[in-house]
Amino acid sequence: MTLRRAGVAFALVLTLAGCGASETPPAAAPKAPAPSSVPVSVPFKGLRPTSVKIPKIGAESSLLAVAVKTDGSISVPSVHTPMQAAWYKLSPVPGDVGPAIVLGHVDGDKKPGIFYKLKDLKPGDEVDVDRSDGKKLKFVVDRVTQVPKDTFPREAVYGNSDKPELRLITCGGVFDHAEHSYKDNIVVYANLADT
Amino acid sequence: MRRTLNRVAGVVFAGALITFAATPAALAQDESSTSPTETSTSTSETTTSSSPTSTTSETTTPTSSTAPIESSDVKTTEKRLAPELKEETQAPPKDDDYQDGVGHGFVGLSGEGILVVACASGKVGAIYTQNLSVTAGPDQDESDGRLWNYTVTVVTPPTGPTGRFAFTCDGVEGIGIVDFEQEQPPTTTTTASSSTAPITTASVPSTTTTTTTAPGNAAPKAQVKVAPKGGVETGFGGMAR
Repeated sequence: MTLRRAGVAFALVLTLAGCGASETPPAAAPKAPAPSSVPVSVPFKGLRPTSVKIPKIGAESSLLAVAVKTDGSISVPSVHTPMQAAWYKLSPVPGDVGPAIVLGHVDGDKKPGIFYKLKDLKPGDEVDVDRSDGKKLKFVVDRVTQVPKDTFPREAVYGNSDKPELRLITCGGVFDHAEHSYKDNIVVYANLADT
Repeated sequence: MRRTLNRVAGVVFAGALITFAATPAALAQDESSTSPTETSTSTSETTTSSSPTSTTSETTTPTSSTAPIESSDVKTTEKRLAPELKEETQAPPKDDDYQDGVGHGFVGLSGEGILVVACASGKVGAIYTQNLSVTAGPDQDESDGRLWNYTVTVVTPPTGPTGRFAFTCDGVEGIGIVDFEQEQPPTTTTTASSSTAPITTASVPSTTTTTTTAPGNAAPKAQVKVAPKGGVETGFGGMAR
């Protein structure tokens, strides 16, 4: 009974607050502007990849655990730390069945990023991933694709797979100076090597 | 009993009014939240040049005859303004469209998802959801510590493509929209009726493709719980080709 009342109250608040619009309604009272960055004191606690290394292109980085921003786009490491890679924590942990998503900048702050040479990878190249449970995994590049962001192949990149796979994603193609963004994404597909 | 209900309704209504009252202020705050970065750069310009007339003309053409500024002053401003103008022409990357005190949820076809609350103070409070159960969190997005994540699963199928959740940030109530990913309409359903067409994919019975799933609950388990929107923005420098 009490729970039902609370539910009714919650529903009433939502209704009365005028939340019929599809956009996210802002709700904060006036206060000081939010800082541009905040230290991470409560990181992701689950099983996770800890580092990625791609010997062929000399890329090596620890991995942040990231999700999506409030607009639904994927959260990426700061442009001021372009050598930092990240793992999308709503994707499988590398080594588990499914496409594990790892992303990194091609450049940032006028410096090359961790995946600056990602497009140079070829089938058969090696990608090493360490996990928080101590496992050291080796993936082998299957193919490298360049796809327009406008028609990003969501199903191919994020769709289910029947074995442990890895997707390495960065930017590429023509740089749109007006938009300050690359037109394309480079996506590397890799499979867990047989052990 | 009726008196108790009236009391509950009164409290709820008062809460809703407070929410209403807070909304315009919040909008104003959102606008001002983007301006500090602009004002911080502009204040340095105004303090150095002391005249609001075009700073670009000072740097490019020494003949700024309209403003009564001594030549010695112009020289000093040129030195100090040059690097700042360079910074401006680089067009800052559009990575910080951050708004504090807002939340949004995303639930995939398998019924698993995430609630994201933008709360730079870190004082995120209780979460109230309509159709969801919080299974983990909060933890911070490690690329932007202002974003707090709650992992959720659907407990009761939503009636539509969106739902709502309530949260608090720094003691202030907020309401976020939850987007439930919708099953794409099957494109192969027409093949079942057009039996005369020479389609070779007949090994799978056509009835299996017509299964309609409730949004966000009944689909097979998605390995990527929520597919991000759009492409991936991982380059801002224009160095790669």
